[in-house]
Amino acid sequence: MKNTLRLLRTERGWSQAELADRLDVSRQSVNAIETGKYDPSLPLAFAIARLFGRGIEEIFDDGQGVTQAAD
Amino acid sequence: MQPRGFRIATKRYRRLFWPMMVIYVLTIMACSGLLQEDASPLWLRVTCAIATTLPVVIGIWAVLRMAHEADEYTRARQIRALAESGAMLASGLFLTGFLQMYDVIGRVEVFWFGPAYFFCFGIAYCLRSVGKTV
Repeated sequence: MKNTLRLLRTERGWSQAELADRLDVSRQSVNAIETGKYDPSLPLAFAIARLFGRGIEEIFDDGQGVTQAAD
Repeated sequence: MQPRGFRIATKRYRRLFWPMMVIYVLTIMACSGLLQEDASPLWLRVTCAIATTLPVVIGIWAVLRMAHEADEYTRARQIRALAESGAMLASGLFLTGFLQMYDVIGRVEVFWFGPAYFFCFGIAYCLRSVGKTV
């Protein structure tokens, strides 16, 4: 799943460790999410969205949105 | 055990695991000194075996507690590494058993399967770090 986490993080000048600290997860978790190796659970996705003041769908894109809208 | 977040889980893990490893080493040294003579009584040998195993068991429990309490990604990595190391060790046990049965190798100390499990866990955990998915 694609996401804009890295962009949002760097916009705020946070390091991966700093973001991990704010989310209370490991730095490896942040890296895995940013690189698309790991898709977060719904509670963690909500926590990320809340932290950046965005909607989940603004941060995460499963690539299905356009197709479903067209259907 | 409830998920507590990465920070608290790590702190609780370190507070329990490392003291247990220090106790483990000290117990081995103490027991080695106590059991130098072959004439050591059975009760002393059994007590030493249990005393040395106990900190290891508590250490394993600390790892499992960490896996349960940590954040979801860390938990997923640890549980997968635990399962994979178990599979590696079971494969090694079967192979060793058959090699012994067919008289290819001699006696193998059962003790080494314990450290082998932790070695396999380390390998599995590191391999997972470079993997594409959890």
